[in-house]
Amino acid sequence: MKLSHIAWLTALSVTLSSPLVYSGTQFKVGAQGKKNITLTNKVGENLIKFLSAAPLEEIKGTTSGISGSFVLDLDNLEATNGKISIDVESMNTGLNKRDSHMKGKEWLDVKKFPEIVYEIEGLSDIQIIRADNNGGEIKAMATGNFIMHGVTKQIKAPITLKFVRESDATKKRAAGDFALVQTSFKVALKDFNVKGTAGIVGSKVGESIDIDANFYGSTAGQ
Amino acid sequence: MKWKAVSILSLVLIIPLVVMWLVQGRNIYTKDKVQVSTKVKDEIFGGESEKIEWVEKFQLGLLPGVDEPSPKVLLSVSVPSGILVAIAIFGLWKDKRSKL
Repeated sequence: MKLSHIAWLTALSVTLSSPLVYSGTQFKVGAQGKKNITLTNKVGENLIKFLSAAPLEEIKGTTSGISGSFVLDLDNLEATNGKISIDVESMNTGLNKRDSHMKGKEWLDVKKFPEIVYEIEGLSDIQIIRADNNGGEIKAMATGNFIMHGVTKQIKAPITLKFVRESDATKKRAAGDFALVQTSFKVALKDFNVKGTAGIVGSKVGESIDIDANFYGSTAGQ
Repeated sequence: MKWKAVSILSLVLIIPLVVMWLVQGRNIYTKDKVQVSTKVKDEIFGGESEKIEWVEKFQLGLLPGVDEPSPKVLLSVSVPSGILVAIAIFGLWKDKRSKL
């Protein structure tokens, strides 16, 4: 075997034996590593608005019982993950009768399924809109499991994430670095086996519900 | 003649109910709360932050906003209108009988 062959084989074996290092999207905001963001109303009003548009009625509602946290990986945004929970009891449509129906057995069945959960598994299609030492903004597609009415379904949701590093201005609201996640997506009731009262879905309640959410959090926790 | 007047008055009383329903947003159900959104400029994140509150405000609907039997079922268009239509029909029937 020629010396050059040995050199090539050595180089090849070194290349194959070295671990494959995947480099994810970096968010260059003057900080590194994983940031554990906990949702808190001290940073901003955590709010989910939902809208059911049906031929006979348009129902607008909100929910305020939002909790959860997520890990924002500044060195690998794709690896961002977390869990956001909604207390079904806190859902409000402005009409007590309708709220009690919505939380009843034929609809969301709050006694059996008191929470709606979104488990974020990662981000894709990431676009860095802005990034500097004070923070930044990205747009991405979040992928995760949406759990409602005992049914788990993978849902992709477009998000805008703003990250603000701690400063004198942020300290007036709360400690830590801040994050705001905004998203809008649709949830089809039939996908989650929410059948409702016979004849109501499609006439008074929309077949899919529009969700519009703002999640505010801080690295300092609640 | 007295019963005919009662019938006409009953039917006329339905009109303000319907007008009130049209003005208050043509809701299917009577509501006692309304969503009020407050948007404030957010100096930290940019743009606006939104806060939504539910405030007490009566809005007349076609159907009552309660299920259980209570005087609140009258707070709708359908229930008082139904009663007024029944009075009107009864009045016309009585009027016809008195003429016989």
